Amino acid sequence: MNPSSNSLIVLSDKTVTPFCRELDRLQEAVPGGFKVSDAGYDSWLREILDPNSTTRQQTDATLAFVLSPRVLELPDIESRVPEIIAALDGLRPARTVLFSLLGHDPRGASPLLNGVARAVLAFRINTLLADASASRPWLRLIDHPGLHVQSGLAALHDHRFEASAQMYYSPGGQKRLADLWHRVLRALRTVPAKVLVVDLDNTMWRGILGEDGADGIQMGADAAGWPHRRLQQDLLKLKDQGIVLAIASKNNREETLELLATHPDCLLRPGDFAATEIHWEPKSVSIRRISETLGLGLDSFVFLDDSEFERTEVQQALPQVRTMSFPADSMGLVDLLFTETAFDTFAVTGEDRKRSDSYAAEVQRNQLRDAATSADDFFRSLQLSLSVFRLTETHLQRVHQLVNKTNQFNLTTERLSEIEVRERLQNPAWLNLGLRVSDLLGDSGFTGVLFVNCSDPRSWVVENFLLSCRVIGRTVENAVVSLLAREAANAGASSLAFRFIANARNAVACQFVEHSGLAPDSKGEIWSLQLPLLAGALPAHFVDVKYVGDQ
Amino acid sequence: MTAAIEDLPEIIAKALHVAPAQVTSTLRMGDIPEWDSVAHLGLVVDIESAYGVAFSAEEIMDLTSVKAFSDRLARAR
Repeated sequence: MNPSSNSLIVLSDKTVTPFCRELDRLQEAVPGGFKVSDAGYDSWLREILDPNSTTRQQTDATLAFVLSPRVLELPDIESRVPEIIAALDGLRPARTVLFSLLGHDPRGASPLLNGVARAVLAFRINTLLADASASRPWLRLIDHPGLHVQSGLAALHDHRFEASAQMYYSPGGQKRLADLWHRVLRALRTVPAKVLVVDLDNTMWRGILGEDGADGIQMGADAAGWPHRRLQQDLLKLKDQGIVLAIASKNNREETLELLATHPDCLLRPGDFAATEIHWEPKSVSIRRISETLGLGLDSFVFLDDSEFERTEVQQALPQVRTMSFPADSMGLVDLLFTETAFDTFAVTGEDRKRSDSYAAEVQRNQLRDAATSADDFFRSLQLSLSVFRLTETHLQRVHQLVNKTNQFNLTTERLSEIEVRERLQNPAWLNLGLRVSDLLGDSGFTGVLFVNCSDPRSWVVENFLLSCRVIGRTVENAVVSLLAREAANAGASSLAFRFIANARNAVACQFVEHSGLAPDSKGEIWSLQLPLLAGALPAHFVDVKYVGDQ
Repeated sequence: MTAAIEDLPEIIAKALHVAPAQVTSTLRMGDIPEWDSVAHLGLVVDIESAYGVAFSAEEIMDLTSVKAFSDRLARAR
């Protein structure tokens, strides 16, 4: 990543210096945190519309538009929104832009009339921004109106400070604003957790199945069950955004699964969980087993349980798992996942939405594997299919995500910023390919990336090759090498090389280079094939490969 | 329960993120880089909440020394 790319320029319509200082202080405590600078009072329009502004010249900075409700009082503000978006579109190189949605301040003359007019104006501008953001992965919106509702304007604004210092947000309000933006910046820099392991008794529902029975536990819309019902709704939301749900519960398995499948008030069903560990073994054992079943590292796990005993046991045995604190009053469950930052993310791709189901399919695959008489037999029974397509800028978001999330099968584990990914995708001397894998149990989606540097047409260099852990170990990687060798040979290349950088996490990639018919250089950093290939030079695969080119 | 006048230097030090020893009875805004016109506003808010008082907009601009604050707070007692 660009070493200076951790700079953040705050642009505002009002004085937000206390906000900038507080945010900078919070970021300073975070490794790789942003260095926050303040473009000054009423800087936002000038800095973005003036082609020679200092902000526009700082090409590596992330921009943060921290706007107050006073923006709604500017003449013609609604008609200027497209102009502002066009100016952001024109930034070269493109950079990440964080833009606050506008909250409205209803106070003023004729509130019954003007309050409504301002609310509608804010809504219209926010809609324009949301539409713009939907097609611009670099443009992220920040929910200022949500903060206004949560805190109340009285806690955010104070006339005295607007009078004396042109501050819309009071010093206290700027602290709250800084907390919100700190959470936003954290989400830009960290990979969200992937798995949430939940307990059942007194977590998913009120009561204990083994003592209160199926009729005695509560998760309905009534008082005692309600917070648990809200939690279940939140869990379904997380599942929709790609968080894998799993159960670790001390109960009788058959009885519990029966209840999950049939209880009229239960919103989550057995099929919503990629793994169900329901027995009397320690929960740390359950979580470890889920991690092995799903092939996901424990550091991407979050654990939720009402029992302090269970939480302590997991915390001590598996410190890399994030154990959530549990509210003393069950009503706290309603806000639990609102305050939890482990799952914070800005973008949810189609692959994210399918992830939970695809892990459930993976569990079935493992059962097929156990039943098969040989490995070849198993691979054949899967009816694997790989389609390979050229990457374009439309794939930017998913490519960026794969590059930065994939650990095990990632030949270099080099991380790239969104801007660096975009530069690669735009480079005509490179062949950048996406991989889509499916089998009889489902479509794993866009789960692999190849960056091939073809600047020297005689020797192609794979700068990186990565595959999501969901699709490795099914000979897909061998099929990729065969395809690429064929394409390179057809293009007249005499060698195909793969860059490889070993590290603590990509042992799977290491196994791949060692067992793929590739020959290493003296340092083990370049692994290559001479072309054209001799028969039998590459390991077998059982994949129906389609090269679809542009998609 | 509001703070005592004697706690004022400590409250100021905390608000400005400086060591308590730096907050002498003669300290004025501008004497140290940490107490500039922006930090001053945060300081005002912290003193208001510690002592349960509210300063007017004019006072906020005038109360720019440790002594000015302590005199004003003594009058409020």
